[in-house]
Amino acid sequence: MSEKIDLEQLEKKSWRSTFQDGLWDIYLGLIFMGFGIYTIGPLFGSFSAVNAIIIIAIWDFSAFFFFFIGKKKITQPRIGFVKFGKKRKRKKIKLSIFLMFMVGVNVIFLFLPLSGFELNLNPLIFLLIVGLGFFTLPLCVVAYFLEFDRLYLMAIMGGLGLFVSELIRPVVGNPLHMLLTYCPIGGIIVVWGGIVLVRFIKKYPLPKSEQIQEVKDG
Amino acid sequence: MGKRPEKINPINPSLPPIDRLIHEPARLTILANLYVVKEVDFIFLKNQTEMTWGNLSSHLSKLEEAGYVSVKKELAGKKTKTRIRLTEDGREAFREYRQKMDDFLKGLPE
Repeated sequence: MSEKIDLEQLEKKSWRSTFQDGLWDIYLGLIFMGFGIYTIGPLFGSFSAVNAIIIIAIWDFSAFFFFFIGKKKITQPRIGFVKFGKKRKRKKIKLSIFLMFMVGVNVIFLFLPLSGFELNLNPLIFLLIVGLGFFTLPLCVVAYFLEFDRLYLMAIMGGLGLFVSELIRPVVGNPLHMLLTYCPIGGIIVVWGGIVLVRFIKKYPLPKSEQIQEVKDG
Repeated sequence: MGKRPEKINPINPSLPPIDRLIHEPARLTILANLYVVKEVDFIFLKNQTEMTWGNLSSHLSKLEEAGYVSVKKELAGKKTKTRIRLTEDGREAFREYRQKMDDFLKGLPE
């Protein structure tokens, strides 16, 4: 039995090694920052929905580009390539089904006001429920399936952000409340992702190509 | 496909015959790491096993000769990608080894 547990641990160790580069943290941190960044529109002119969408799209695309290039140029040359077995494939399918379900739930809630349904809740309570239900909970489920522990903390920070932004809105005004909430949250996550990345680079230096060639040639 | 090594226990015939090729700690580490995944490359295996390049190379060659491990080279642009995986024989041999060791150790008094 103990051998079975050891093999499970070994598989987990391999799996978790793919998250130790900090790139997911940096990527998600940048996405969180994007929730606040779109409000910089008024600083450079008029604020419109189109402006906001363009800013968010450029920001998120840049974040994804950094993540993609980072995985290809920083992570893979250092920790190498791995393809996991059936267990991980099954988990991925379950996660995909859950995410599709969440998209459906989001769409329903998005169109709920059109049906005349109204929730007479305090805005603070409402945003707390929305943040925890539509942000923290799904991200926690993702963290569970991916066994990515740092994501739980990011999920809580991101979910509470909506509540905090509503809390500071009377003081700083709209839409600056989003900038002042999500930029620090995202910034903290980006910084800790950066620290994880630096540790990763130190722990896994680039192997010399002649060493790899030597092994390949036997 | 290589020839499966002879499995006899020369010390005591009553002990279960153990595959000595697998029993060696470094090769056991390699096989255990390959058992839990589908496919890896050299760098990943080296990091997981924490072996030196030379050690890894020599043990992999032995496992490949025995037909327990397959090492495939694929061309990806200008680079060669090497993929290492456990063969069906290797998987079966590892399972058998685990079972025997488990049975043997369970049978020992506290």
